[in-house]
Amino acid sequence: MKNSHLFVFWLLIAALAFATPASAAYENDSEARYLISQDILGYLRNADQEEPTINELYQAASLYPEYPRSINDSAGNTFVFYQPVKKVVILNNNAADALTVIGTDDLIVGVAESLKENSLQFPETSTLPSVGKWMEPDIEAILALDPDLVIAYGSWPDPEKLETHLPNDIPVIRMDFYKTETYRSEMEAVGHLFNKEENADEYLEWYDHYFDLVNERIQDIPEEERVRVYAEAGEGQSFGRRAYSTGTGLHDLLVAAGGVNIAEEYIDGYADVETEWIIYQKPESVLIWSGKGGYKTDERDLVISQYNGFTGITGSDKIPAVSEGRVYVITSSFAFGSSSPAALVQVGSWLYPSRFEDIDAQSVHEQYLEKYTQTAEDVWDEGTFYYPDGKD
Amino acid sequence: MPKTRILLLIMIALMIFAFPAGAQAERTITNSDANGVITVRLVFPEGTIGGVTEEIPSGYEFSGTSHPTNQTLVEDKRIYFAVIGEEEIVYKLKGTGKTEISGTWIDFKEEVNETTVKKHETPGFGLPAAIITIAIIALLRRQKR
Repeated sequence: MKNSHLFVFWLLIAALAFATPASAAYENDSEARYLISQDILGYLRNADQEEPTINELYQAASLYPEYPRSINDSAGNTFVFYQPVKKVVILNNNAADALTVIGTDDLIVGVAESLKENSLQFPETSTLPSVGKWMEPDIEAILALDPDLVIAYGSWPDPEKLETHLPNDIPVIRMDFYKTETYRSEMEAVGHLFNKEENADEYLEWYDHYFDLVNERIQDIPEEERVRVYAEAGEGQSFGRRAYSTGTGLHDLLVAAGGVNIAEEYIDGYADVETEWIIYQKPESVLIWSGKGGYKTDERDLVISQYNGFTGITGSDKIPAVSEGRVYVITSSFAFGSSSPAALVQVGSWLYPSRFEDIDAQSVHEQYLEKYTQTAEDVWDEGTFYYPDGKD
Repeated sequence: MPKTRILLLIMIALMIFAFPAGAQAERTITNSDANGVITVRLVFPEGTIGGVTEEIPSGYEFSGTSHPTNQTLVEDKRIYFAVIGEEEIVYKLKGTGKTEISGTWIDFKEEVNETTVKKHETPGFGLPAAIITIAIIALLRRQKR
């Protein structure tokens, strides 16, 4: 074969090689494939359908296999997203906490009024525009921010005050981010929604580590040897004291730490109980929930006054928890949400000190503050997350 | 014309005609077999995300496909396919009568709404590329003389 023929031959071979389409190298994202397939079939069958629109399908196709993606909220609703969420309005601190942990707090554009008071916990987020109260959102303020998404508690505010007034293209996701039974799945869901699975997984690994650790330490304690705990939030609304039982976060926390709630078979949820009943029950430990303190550095006195409010009740000297110095106040910004593993270790240490001798609960909390909040571990010295905390 | 310029032209021509022009879907239909089954083959450009609606011709009914079940919907005389990166869909129809099939195609990735699924014409480079190749060979032979 002459040189010129040989050259043309190789040229043809090269052209053939380049002209043959290579197989599409798609990621194996079965969820996106399933969702977009169903949406395409639905659209072909009825192009006049409301959702998804052809523009949403164009968008999803351009972003496949990253999108579409779906999540379920804690109210049992499923949401499909065809493109990344870029602007979020949050109606409570717990949602801000969750988004901070997974590293998407920069997407928050509006917050509930209550969050603006938490400048130490949320130094940047607290400066964002207010969208009203968490129970009474300001719809006009939300609309003015043109968010892609609103995150609210599972049950509050009532849909009549929120969803009813928002257009369909602003979905409201209902997540609590403080209940033990749903916390894990909610964190996984927001990790997936915001394409931050890696951050969510890394956090949940830390979360699981301490929940597993506490469980291992307490699981072999026989029921009759478990510490009997009275849980409350201070004075009763009508009489006596406000006790916390099944269905409350405080109950879940003390049970996870190996305690037995003395009110478990006496009341459901929150209810007033007679002081005499508490004395008669002789609890070995008392856990008092406080909505004060935490990252609010000027509320230490309020936390301490809750402690004194219980230890000072008439006849408290007959309560073993008081006489043995096993009364504790735990704040909501420590006990629930993303810091709950640190709180669990702390409560476990209070209830069963001999089983947690090798664990420094305070350092677990400091580790949390350093890794998963907008603050640093120094905030531990400034805030009051529980009491007694050894600072006085 | 210098040889290098000719070769350059060849390369350009091959590149232009070898790639599919735009996001088009094409259909090939085989003749009916002894059981009255025809095989329909649809081909798509690589990396496509789209949807096909095929009208089942009178006298025929849907007989099966190798396409994933959750990407296929058969309803009355229509078959809907979601195409997620597949470059080919093969399906079968059974019956008697004319095998004229009409269908439409939406390319969601290229944002092309409702084009007709074309009848597949020529394999490989297509007719223009074949003509150019023959012409090149003839030209080279003349130069040799």
